[in-house]
Amino acid sequence: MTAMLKAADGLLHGFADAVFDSQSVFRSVLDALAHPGSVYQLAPQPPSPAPLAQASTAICLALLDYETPLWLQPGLPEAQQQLIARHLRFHCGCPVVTEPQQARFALIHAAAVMPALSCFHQGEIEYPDRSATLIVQVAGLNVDVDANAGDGVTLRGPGIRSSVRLAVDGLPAEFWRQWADNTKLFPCGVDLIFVAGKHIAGLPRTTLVES
Amino acid sequence: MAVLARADLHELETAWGHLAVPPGHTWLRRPETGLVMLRARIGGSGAKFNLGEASVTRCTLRTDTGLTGVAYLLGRSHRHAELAALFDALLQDETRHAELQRGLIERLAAAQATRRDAASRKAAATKVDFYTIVRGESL
Repeated sequence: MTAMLKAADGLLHGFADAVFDSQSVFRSVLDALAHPGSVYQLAPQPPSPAPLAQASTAICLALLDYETPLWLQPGLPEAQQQLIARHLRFHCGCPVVTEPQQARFALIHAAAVMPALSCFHQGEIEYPDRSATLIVQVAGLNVDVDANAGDGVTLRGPGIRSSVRLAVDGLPAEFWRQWADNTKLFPCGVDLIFVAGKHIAGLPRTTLVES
Repeated sequence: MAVLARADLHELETAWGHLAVPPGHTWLRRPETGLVMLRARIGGSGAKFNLGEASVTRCTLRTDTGLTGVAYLLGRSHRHAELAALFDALLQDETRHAELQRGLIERLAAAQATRRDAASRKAAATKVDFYTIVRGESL
């Protein structure tokens, strides 16, 4: 009992209204994945253990449960890492795994040093829905940037009328090449949600990229 | 915690009312009611089976003094869970622990033991022993 109480120290509360806030976040994530390249703002803003963005925490609180193992990107001080894991385990009951391959969700706080997309579970041909969903925190998200200035990438695919230009700050140099490889695995492959502060943008495996 | 969970809601309300300075609190997890599957073993040591489901209410809160209280109890009473968690938090306060342990927990535990004893006696009084008188022809 004492151990349990000590482990509860430093915990933050979750959604103010568990039902309606999760529904609202779920709807925004659904919209973001249905319209890749569009940026959505999440209304609920639960407190968030540093360095997680509010939107990352909100997505985790809404989507994770005991059936969705979570992989946390390492590289944080031990205390912070423990606090994040404890916060999400307390509110979501999700197992926290150390192997990216075992995870259904991956939480990436430093996009610049994220592992290759191929490290995560790609799904199986019989069950492509079992692949991982990556929540990637980036420095900034900008839509409809000027193509002539060379900013961003052009996205095409389901949910996009002709094409959309999206600039994501802080991704590793080889990211879009990895993403092109990921789209070739269809129907397998990972899905991705970019997070910047309170804003999110979806990048499902069906979205093709032209640099 | 078990004593607080088994206590009567009325007893807890009274004890709460008697507190000199009841602390305020914030919720870490609001009271929520769910079902847990109770599992048992046949004859106490045989194969496992699902006995049935029971409603359980749990909550976690933090008092203004920074103590975390947890409650898990049978039933659906959110107020009971709140009070049990509050007392759980207060019991961690070293200045209050001894007084609460003596004034509340031991009293509640004694009351529960009495209730349990009375129930067992009532049940024992109605116990029926089945036996067969051996009939003459088999001898």
